[in-house]
Amino acid sequence: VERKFRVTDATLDVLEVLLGLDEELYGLKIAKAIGRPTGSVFPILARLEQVGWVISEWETSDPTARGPRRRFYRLSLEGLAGARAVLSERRSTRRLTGQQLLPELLPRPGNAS
Amino acid sequence: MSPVVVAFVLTAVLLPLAVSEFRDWCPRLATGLTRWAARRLGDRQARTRYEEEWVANLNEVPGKLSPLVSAVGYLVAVPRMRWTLRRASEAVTAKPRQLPPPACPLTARGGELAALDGLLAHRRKKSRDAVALTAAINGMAGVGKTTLALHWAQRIKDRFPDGNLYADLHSYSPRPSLAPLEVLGGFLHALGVQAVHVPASLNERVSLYRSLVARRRMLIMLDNAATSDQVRLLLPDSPHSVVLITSRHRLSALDNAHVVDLDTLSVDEAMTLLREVAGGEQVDAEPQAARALVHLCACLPLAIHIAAGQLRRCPHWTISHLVDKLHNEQRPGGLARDLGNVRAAFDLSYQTLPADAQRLFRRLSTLPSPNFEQRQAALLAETTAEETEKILDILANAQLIIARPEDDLYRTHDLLLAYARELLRKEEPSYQPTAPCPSNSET
Repeated sequence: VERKFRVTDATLDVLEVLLGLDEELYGLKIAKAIGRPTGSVFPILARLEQVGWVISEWETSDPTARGPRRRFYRLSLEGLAGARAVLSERRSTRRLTGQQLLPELLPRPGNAS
Repeated sequence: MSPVVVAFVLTAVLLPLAVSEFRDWCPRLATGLTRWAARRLGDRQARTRYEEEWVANLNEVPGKLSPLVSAVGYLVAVPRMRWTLRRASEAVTAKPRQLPPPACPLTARGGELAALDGLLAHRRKKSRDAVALTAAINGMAGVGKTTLALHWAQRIKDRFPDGNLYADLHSYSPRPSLAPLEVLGGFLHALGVQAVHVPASLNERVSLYRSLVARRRMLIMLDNAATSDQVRLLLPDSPHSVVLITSRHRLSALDNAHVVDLDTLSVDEAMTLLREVAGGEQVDAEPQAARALVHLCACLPLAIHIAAGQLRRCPHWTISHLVDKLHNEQRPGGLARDLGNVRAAFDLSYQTLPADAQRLFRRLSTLPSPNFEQRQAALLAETTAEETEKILDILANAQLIIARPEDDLYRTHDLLLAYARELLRKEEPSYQPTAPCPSNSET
């Protein structure tokens, strides 16, 4: 996968959450899931969106609800492939350097709100 | 009052009051700060999007002080976000120029052009609308919708500095019409999105297309639309862009579209057209026959073009000669409704073609798109490239197809394709294309 941006640990965390099964991920939920402030999650999401890895759409579930809408994020097909590649690559280097492994990519209790 | 009492009042009464006041005021301060931060971002679309998105997120932060902390986080994120968003708008800089030049000159239609100009001028005044101005030209087959649209588009295209997009949805050709998925693929490609970045799913394509066009001032033409569903997803939320649709039907679900109805020409206008395409001298020499001819053509521009093509190909024919032949061709009953009484003009044109041109014309109806390349025609003609080119020239002379040398394509009209299909059924019912004809509409 061609690397079009710097992949920080925070980016890896965001990608990992996006790889999960939750289909209604919005900024705050992602921030909570990875334990980082929203202020650092949104620039990552914007960057991922700019390179085409992430797609965002306004929530449409409740047309009667008033007030600001949430915006849901999910991986594009390209993002899906890219995220998998980046995560497995990083995991193997972490394994080599003896660091703690990232948890598995399947749904975790933490991110199902 | 002793200093002790003052100190007591300050610490035990006023300070808690102030703190509690501040705590109550905090969420509002946080919301205000977040909105302010979002408004520092990029362009108008990004500003409104993130303002709503961030406030929605902020509203879910519990407590009274935490929202303020989040708000400060948003404020701190602004410089990075601005950088990213600026990169995003620079990332794709292509200025597509997809509008084809009009294949036919425009005759009459002054009223319709003025109506379209009026829409554009009116839009200027209320440019606060968040959606693109949508104009739909409606009218029967062969009446000149595409010609009018292309002429108008050529006139106004320079007002759209970010370029123009064109898609022929060819809804009335034999094969299923072009789905929004394919059209969006072509548009994204034209907008400079690399093929590997064109998303696979419809939703993703729509949202990428909309976000790209939202920042731009573009003219978008959707030719030959049949259903609202075909075009709805292609309408951008861009107040500075204009969408021009041609269709045989009113597309009911397009509430905001301004409709321009295109009728057949008046007899005088049809005469003007005939004069332009067949030559003034011939028309002046036989004014009665010329009037009879435009009546036989139902004042339909397409039919008049074909009749004039016939006169050009047979220079020894007079207009009266052509009119007599057309009268003889007219058979009552059994005419396809679409073709109506212009069918005689088609029949005559077809019957005076050489056999190999007739055969190719019939077989064109098996092509997936009304736009085709010479090599596709060669497969149908079952002959060499040079021979095919000769036959295509004959068909172009008869106005049954239009050559588009600028993009190496030929084009035919849906109405003529319907006619060709009928001929194929009658004269070569067992014909199957020998090799699959690759579609040129894929991107």
